[in-house]
Formats: sequence, C-alpha cells, structure tokens
Amino acid sequence: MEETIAETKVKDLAGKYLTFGLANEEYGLEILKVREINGMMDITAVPKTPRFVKGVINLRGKVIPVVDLRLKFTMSEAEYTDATCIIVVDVDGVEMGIIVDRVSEVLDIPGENIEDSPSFGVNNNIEFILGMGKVGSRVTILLDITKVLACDEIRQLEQIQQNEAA
Amino acid sequence: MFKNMKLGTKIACGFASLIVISALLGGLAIYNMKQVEAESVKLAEEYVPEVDLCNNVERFSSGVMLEMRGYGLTQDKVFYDKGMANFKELDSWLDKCSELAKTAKNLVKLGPAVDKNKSDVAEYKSLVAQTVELDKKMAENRQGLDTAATDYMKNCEEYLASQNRKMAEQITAGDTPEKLQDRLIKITGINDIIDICNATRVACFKGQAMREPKLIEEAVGNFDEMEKLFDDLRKITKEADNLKQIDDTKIAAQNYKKNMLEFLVNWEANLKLGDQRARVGDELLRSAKDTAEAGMSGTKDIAKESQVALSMASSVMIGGLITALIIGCALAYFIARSITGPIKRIIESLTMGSEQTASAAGQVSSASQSLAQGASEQAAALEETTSSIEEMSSMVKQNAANANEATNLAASATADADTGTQAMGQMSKAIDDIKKSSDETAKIIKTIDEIAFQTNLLALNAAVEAARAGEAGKGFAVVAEEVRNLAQRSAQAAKDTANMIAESVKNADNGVSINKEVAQTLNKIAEGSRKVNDLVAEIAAASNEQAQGIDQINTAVGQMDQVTQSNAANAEESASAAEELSSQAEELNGMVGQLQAMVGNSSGNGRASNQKLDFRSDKGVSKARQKTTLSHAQTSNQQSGQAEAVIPFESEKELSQF
Repeated sequence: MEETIAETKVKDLAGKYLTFGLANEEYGLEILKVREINGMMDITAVPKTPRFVKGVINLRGKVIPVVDLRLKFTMSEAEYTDATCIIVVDVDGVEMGIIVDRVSEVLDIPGENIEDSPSFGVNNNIEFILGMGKVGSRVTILLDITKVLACDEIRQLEQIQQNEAA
Repeated sequence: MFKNMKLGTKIACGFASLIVISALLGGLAIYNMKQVEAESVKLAEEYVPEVDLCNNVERFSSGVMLEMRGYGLTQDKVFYDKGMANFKELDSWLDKCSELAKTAKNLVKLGPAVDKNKSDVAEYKSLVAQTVELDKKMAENRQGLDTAATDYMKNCEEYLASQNRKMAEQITAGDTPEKLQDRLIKITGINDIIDICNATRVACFKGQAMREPKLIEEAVGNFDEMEKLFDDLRKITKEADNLKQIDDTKIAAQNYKKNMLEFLVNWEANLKLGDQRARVGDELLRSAKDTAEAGMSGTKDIAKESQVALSMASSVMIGGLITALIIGCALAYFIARSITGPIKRIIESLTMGSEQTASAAGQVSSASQSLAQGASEQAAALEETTSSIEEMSSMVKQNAANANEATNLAASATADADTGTQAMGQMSKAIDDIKKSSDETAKIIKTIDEIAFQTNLLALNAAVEAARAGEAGKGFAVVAEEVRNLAQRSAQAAKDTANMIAESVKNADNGVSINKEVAQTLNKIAEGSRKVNDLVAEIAAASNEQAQGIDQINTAVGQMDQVTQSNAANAEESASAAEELSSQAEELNGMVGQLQAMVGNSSGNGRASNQKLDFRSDKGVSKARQKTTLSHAQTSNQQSGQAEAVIPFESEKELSQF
C-alpha cells in the first residue's frame, strides 16, 4: 500500500522543472510555481527582518519580498555576479523572489528518473525536498518551495498579524 | 758559582778537598796514636818496673822473714846467713825503688811506701841483731847449765861411789845392821838427789825440746826439794870429804838453778822478739804487697785507659774513613758531573752544529746543482724566448691590422643598431594600436554577452509561460528552447571571442615588453660597438707599444744570457765550496766523536755517521753536475732526470724556484 502511494507520489512528481544552481549543487523548482525569471535588480532593504530576507524589489509596479536562498539554506553568503538571478515564485498566492547563483534551464524529468528523498536518520527537517531527480550522471534536488519558504515565513506572518492585532 | 768555575779549578778543588780530608784523618790518627804511646811509655817506664820492683821487694821480704823465722826457731847459722843475703838483695831492690820513685812522676805512693819499707827493714834488722844477742846469752846459759849439771853429777857419783865402797867395807867387816841401815839411807838419799837432778834436767830439756817454758818453770820447784834432800843427807853424813861433796853438789845445783832461770828469762825475751819480728815482717810484707797492688792497679788503669783511647781512636778512624769515603764519593760524583755535564752539552751542540753543517752542505750542494741545471735550462728557455719574441712581434703587427678592421666593423655595427632601435619604436606604436582596437572589441563582446544573457532569461521565461499554457504552449516551448539555444551559442561565441581578445591583448602586452627589451638590447649593442671601437683603437696603440717593448725584451734577453753564464760559474764555485764544507763537517764529526769517546758518551755518534753518508752521495752527484755545460741544454735535461733518480729528495720544488 505504502509503496503504491509512494510510487504514485513519485509519478505525480514527473514534469517540467526550472533548474538553478546554488554553490555547486543543482536544484529544481516545479515550473508551475515559477512566475518569472529576472536578472539582478536593485533591492531595497527592510529593517527588522530575518537575515535571509534581503528586502523588497519593485517588479513592474509590484513590491515583492526577496529571500536569499543561500542564507535560507544556511550556506555562506556569496557576492552577486552577472549570472545571479531572482526567480519570482508563487507561494500560496503570494509572490516572492528568491536569489539564486545561476539559472540553468527548463527540464522535463520523467517519473522513472525521480526518486524519493533518502532517509538521513533524522528526517524532520527535509520535508521541503520533494525528491531527487537524476539528470545524466548528476542529481538535481527537487524543492517544494512552498515548504522551504512557508515553515518560517508563515510563522513570521502570524507573528506580524498578532503584533498588529495587539 | 761552582758551575761557572774553570775545569782546572774544579779538579783542583776536588783534589784539595780530598787532601784536606785525608790530612784531617791522618792528624787525628797521629794524635790518638801519640796519646796511646804516652800511656804505653808510662806503662813501660813506670808502672811495670814498679810492679816488678815491688814484687821483688815482696819476694825478698818474705824470704828474709822465712829465713829469720827459721833462724829464730833453730838458731842455725845457715838460716841467718841466708837471711842476711836476702837482706842485701832487699836493700838493693828498695834502693832501686826509691830511685824509680824519684824519677817517676806518676808513682806518688811509691816514695812513702819505700820509705816505710826501709824503716821497717831497719827495725827488722835491729830486732834480728837483738835476737842474735839473746841467742848468744842462751847458749852461754846452756853451757852454764851443762857444766853445773856435770859438776853436780860428778860430785853425786863420787859421793855415791864412796858410800858404796864404805858399804861394801862394812858388809865385809860385818858391821851391825844399824850401821848398814845408815849407809843404805845415805845411798838412797844420794840416789834421790841424783834422780831429782835428772828429773830437773829432763824437764829442762823437755821444755826446750817442746818449746814449752812452763815445763822449765815447773822444774824450778824441784830445787826446794833438792835443798831439803841436801839438808837430810848432810845431817847423816859425817865424813868431811862427803860433806864437801854435798856442798859442791849444792853449789852446782844453785848454779844450775841460776842458769836455768836466766835461760828462762832470755828465752821468753827471745820469744817476744820473735813475735815482734813477725809483726814487723808482716807489716813489711803487707806494705810491699800494697805497693805492688797499687802498681798493678795503676797498670790496669793505664792499660784500660789506653784500651779506651785505642778503641776510641779506631772508632774515630772508622767514622772518619766512612765520612771521607762518602764525601770523597760525593765530591767525585759531583765534580765528574760538573765536568762532564758542560762537556756533554758542548758535545751535543757540536754534534748538532756538525749535523746542521753537514745538512747545510748537502743543501748548498743540491742548491748549486739545481743552480747549474737551472742555468742550463735558463739558456734553453732563453733561446725559446727569442723565437717566441719573433713570433710575438709578427703577431703584434697582425694584431694592429686586425684592430683597424675591427674598428670599421664596430662602426657599421653601431649604425645597424641605431636603425634597429628606430624600427623597434615604430613596432611598439603598432602594437599599442592593436591593443586599443582589441579593448574596443572586448567592449563590444561584453555587450553581446549581456544580450545573450537577457535572451537566455527571456527564453526561460518564455519556456515557463509555455509550460503554464500547457498543451497549447508546446510549440511555443520548442521555439523558446531554440531561442535559448541560440542565446547560449551566442554567449559561448562571445566568451570565446572575449578569451581570444584577452589572449591577443596579453600577447600585445608581451610584445610591447619584448619590444622594450629589444630596444634596450639594441641600445646596448650600439654602446658596446662604440666601446669596441675605442678598445680596438687602444689595442692598436698598445700593439705599437708592444713592438717597442719586444725590442727592449730582446736586449734584456741578451743580458740574461750573460747572467746565466755567470750563474753557471757561480754554481760550480758553490758546489766546490759545499764539497769543502762537507769535508770539514766530516772532520768536525770525527773530532766530536773523539771528544765523546773522551767523555764516555756514546749517544749521537750514529747520527753523525749517517749524516756523513748522506752528504757524500750529494757530493758525488754534485761532481757529476759540474760537468754539465750551458751549451748542452737538452743533455742537461736528461741529466736532471738521472739526478732525480739518484737524489731521493725533492729537486722539482727547488728547480721551480729558479
């Protein structure tokens, strides 16, 4: 039963992914979660926000918060280059920008090339990983961006809402 | 101080000290001997004669006493005479004693002893004379006794005979028994008288014979009895002639008695004298004995003294001898050391000196050989030098010509270098231009790259949009993919171009630096060729000067030739001098050997003889060396080879110095 569930889940994962690079690793985003891809823009810093929240950008009149995914993933911070891009994603109807080192391509990954994320013994923190996509000899980590951003973001939003209510 | 003395003084000092020691010893011995001699003389001249004399005195004293005692006992004249003869001897010995006492100073006791002896002898003599006197009296008394006794007995016998005749007449007459009785009483009385007389005489003789005066004294009592008997007989006697006979007998008896008493007195006096004599004689003997003993003890003392003196003298002599021996040995050792020490040192220095002389002679010999060889080699070298100088002069000329040509070449090189420098300036300008255009191209390429990036983003966005569109967007997705491919290709091309341009810019930079280096090098070349030009000119001038110098060298070589010849002559002379030096060193060695033999030191001889052998071999070679002449330079070279074979030590080093 579980196996079939897992298989169906994995088969559901087959589809198009936008792949990007952080440090030496390749990550994949569900294409439908992506709004658009932009080059590096001017970022307006917002005070009293977490360190990984870089600030907000003005995207054709819309103000969108931007998160540095390196900081979010507690990697070392890197200088922004010409290749650095901001990917605008749709998280439960909220548009947010994530800063990645580079954008690679839009890939169609078939189901048989996707595997469930392996158990690392302690798996309470890797629920934001959908699975591991095998592209050639490389492995692309497929991210559930909603979970990546939500766990903290929603909490923070709730906190903000509580603060406003008080 | 002693070390610095002369040899003669040292020896003289040694002998002098020995003579002094022996003189001291001799003096000491003579002194001791003299002392002992004095003691012996004392002994021989005083004490021994004293003892001898005293012994004689004693002997004769005892002789005198013996004889005189004999005389006193027997009244024999023979003893008396012998005693008197001894007296004479005794007197003569006593005289000798007194003479000795006068002459001998050490015999203090002898004088008084002799005097006492003499007085004793005199006393004894007087005593003897008294004895003789008494003896005479006693003889007279005896005679008196005898005559009185004869008278007595004659009268008594006459009386007895008359009585007996009368009795016989009466008997024949036939008288009455009373008458006969009377007659018989008369006969008995006279017989008693005769008996008592006989008893008295017997007592008297017995007393004399037994030397017991008491017997005679007892006999004196008989005379009272005799008187009584006489009185009794007288009463009964009537005849006148008989009475007369009794009276006569009585007188005779009285006479006898008188004589007997006198004899007794004289005898006792004689006995007393005898005692006195014995006493005096004993005293004489004792004093003689004492003197003799004193002499004996003196003799013993002196003998002991002389023995002590002799033993002391002998011990002193032994001690002195040992001391003299030790001092003599020490002196002999010390003097011998002090004499041989400096001589040994001199011998050592002489040996060293002769060795040094020998080695110096060897060195001089070898040096002169080397000198001779050097002179010949010098001659050869001079010839070579002359030819070399000729070659040199021709070479110098060629040098001058070459230097001129080099000057021309250097000038043209300078010009070429200048041209090169100008060309290099143009080239660097061209390279700069290339660099500028490259930079501009790089800017264009960057723009192209940005465009490619934007195009890529657009293509990706288009792909996203196409995906959203689902099935409807599929064709669009393909187009987006293519666009993206194109964008990527253009990005790649831009990157390649950028790399290439960067490469060319780098190369251009490289070219510029190389260009600079080349320009510097060319400048250096130009400068170097100018310097070369100057140097070559200097070389030409130097070549001319060299030509002049070579002329001077030619004349110098001529002078050197002369010097070499005189060197050869000097080498011969020094070789002969070395020979003489070595012979003298040999002689010196011999003398040193003699000196060593004299002193008795054998060390260093072997060394000297070895040295001798060494410089002999040198000398032989040096003689051979002298035969080499300057004209035979090549043969001398050969000979040097031989010489090296003969001479074991280094000749190369010394030759090189020439």
